[in-house]
Amino acid sequence: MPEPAPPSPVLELRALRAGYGRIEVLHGIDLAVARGTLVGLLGPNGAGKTTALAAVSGQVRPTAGTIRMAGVDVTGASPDALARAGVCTIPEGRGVFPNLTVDENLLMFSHGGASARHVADVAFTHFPQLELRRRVLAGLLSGGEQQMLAVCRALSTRPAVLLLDELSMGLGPIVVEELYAQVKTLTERGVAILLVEQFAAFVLDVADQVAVLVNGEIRAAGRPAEMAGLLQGAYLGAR
Amino acid sequence: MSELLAFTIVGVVTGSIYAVAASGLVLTYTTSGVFNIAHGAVGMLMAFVYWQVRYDWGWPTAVSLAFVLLVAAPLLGAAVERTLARNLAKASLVSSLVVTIGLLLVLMAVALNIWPPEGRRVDGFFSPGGFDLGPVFVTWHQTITVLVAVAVAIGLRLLMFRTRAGVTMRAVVDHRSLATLTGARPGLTTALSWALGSSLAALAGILLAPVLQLNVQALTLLVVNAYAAAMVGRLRSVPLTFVGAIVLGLVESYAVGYLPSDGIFTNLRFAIPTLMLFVALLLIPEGRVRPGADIVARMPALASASRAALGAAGLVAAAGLFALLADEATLSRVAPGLALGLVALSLVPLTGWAGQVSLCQMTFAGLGAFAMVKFAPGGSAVGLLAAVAVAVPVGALVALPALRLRGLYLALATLAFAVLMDNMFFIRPDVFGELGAVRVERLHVGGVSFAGERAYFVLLAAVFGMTAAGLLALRRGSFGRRLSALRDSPTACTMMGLDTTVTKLQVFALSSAIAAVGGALLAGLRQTATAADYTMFSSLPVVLLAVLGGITAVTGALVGGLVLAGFPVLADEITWLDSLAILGPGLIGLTLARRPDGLVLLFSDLWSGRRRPAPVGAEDLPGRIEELGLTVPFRPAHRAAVDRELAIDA
Repeated sequence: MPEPAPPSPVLELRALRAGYGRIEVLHGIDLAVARGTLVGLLGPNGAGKTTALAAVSGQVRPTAGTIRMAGVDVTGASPDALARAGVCTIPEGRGVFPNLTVDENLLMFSHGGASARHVADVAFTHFPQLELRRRVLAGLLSGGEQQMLAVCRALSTRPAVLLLDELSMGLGPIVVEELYAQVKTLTERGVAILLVEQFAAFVLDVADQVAVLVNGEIRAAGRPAEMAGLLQGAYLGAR
Repeated sequence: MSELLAFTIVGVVTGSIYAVAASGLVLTYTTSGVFNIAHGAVGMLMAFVYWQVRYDWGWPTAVSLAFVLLVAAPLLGAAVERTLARNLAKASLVSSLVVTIGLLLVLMAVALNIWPPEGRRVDGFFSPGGFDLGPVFVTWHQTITVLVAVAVAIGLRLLMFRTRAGVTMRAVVDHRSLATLTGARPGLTTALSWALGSSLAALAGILLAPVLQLNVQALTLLVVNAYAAAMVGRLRSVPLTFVGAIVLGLVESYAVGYLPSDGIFTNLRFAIPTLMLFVALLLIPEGRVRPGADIVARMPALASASRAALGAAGLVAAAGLFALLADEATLSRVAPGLALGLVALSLVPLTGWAGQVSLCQMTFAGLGAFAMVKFAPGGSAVGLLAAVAVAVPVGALVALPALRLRGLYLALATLAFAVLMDNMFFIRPDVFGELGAVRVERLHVGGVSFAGERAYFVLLAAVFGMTAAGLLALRRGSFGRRLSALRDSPTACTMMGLDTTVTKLQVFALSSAIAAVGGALLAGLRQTATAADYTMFSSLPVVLLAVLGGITAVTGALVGGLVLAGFPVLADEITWLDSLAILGPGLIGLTLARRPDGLVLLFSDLWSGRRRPAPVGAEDLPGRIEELGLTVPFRPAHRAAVDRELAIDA
């Protein structure tokens, strides 16, 4: 009996080039994220990881190549249109509004289409400690709580694609592991996740696939176990 | 006791109107980062529209109100956001101010054209009805005004904190890019806040119209009071803004009621918003230090000493030739351009080089004219020295708030100062005479008289040329470098041990001195000085035209002055458009939303574009920027290309 054809990827980048002005950062990258899988994009500082996410989320317009979501060409779509279409981006730093309360942040998360009540229910089910602080300004939460709040947007809005940038930044390892465990549960619900991370160790544990980005090119891609050995060389500039 | 109650009621009513206007100002400023100087003008125009539909066309009051507040005003606000404010989010402060100044002038010109001044009455709501509150009769209009302010306060609070649209407005201010990523539409949100702000301005205008009557200028000046109130809330907090507005209304009312109405207290009422503004500015805690620099205008290449001298000599020679060839009528039409150019020139070191925006240069010019009248009645050159001597201390006084604050706060403080001087100083009979106009003799220096049109024309050119050359000499020296440093990053200046206080005082003194000399010469040119020549409203076109010419270039000031002088000439020719003298600069201001660098730089770009070596082609750059300097030598061509990409001017 022939093997069933693999499902077409939810997110697919083909020969994607992008940059700032005439300074090109991504020199044509190919990447595919299938339904219900978590792909980690690793690489050293300045490799173009954040630019790749910015291009996928519509914040940077690609200069060449295509981005497809579930087979539909969305290259050049605006970030808010993509967000309403089911792309959830949690940017580098804290993906929360610091001068709005927790409740108001959750209200903002309902722009994606979910009802405000649903967003709050999901958030407080997954992270009960947020419920205790719902009238506190998000900027006054601890770093971990802020990132939990940010992740709530992914958990509650049922995105098709989730883009995560440096979730671990500035957080302790226990918090990071809890967050990644929550993120991993989304793959069971069919979400395609692309996450960018400088600290490889966290990603190698949860990712189904890993791609190593160096100098704006995909240097290697494969299963986490296969990549672990390659990473050190890539980070230190070996060719 | 009943007197106190009466004044308190009047104060609370006036304060309520200020509160409505100020909350609209805060709303648009916080959500878009653009301070709308035309906020009062929007309210003014909408009050006229209300008069038109309610009284001229006889629509029912409710329909008229709904039309103005729910249709006309929101459309105007959203249109302004779409066409102007949106382009200004990343513009320099002076360009964004100049564009809304342009809008203010356009709205005034439109109102003056459609509704030429005549007695138009707007009655209060349910006028003249009311009720007795103890010994004081309170009209329904007053009651409604206060209730409206309370409703606006509660409504805004609910909107901003209880609805998703309001929370989105605050979220867009907080973190615009993240708001986009959640799927909110920031553009739509900002347009909505401008529509709402415009409606609030209209509401304030309609409430104020029965009090002030339909007066274009008085209603436009509402922005100064609104700004003073908003400053109490640091342009951010709506509740504090309401507090500020009520305090302002009460102080004004008590001042009218209890202070003597003669001597130095004449017209004190008009000074109160300004005084309150200065107090708020001086007491306000220092804002967070913003890292990095403001966005600044481009600087032209610096002329060498010989080129500057050559330019000045060339200007005088050209002026001499022109004076010989042209007839006196033409000459008298061009000459104001040189004098106004000198006033515009005073903005070049202050705004162009040091980045401090002033909206009161004609006030300094007026002080110069005043010195000419008082100290040199026969036209002696002492007048010019006196002009400088009077203007310098006043300039330093205005700079006081600038020592602690910068940018927008300072610009608006100068605006308020100009209004203060209009109402407290220039209007006085001992300044420009009982009739508000005095004769000014033309200058004579060391036995040489400049009374003739031709001689005076050459004199103006010579003063402009020498001042410009002198400024360029300053610019080349350490003072010029300190000014640039101040403009680029006050924070870095402080870190390096530069005294920003002294530098700011110096440049303000310098600028006000130049403006005063310009004003003295302008008065001599017209051979008369009137209070109307030096109002706040006459300062605005000067800033506009200086920016049009190129605020960083001394030649830009000349271009700006000549263009400004051209409008009254045009208005004489085109009789169907009375207000072209206002409309022209206003329209120019609006175009600056697209091209903020000014004409001089535009032409120098076009000129040098022909001579510049061919731009570096893409093939000359290595494919990978990270290899520059490692495997590929980093050559000047690369640097030029990178600079161009990053929009840095070499």
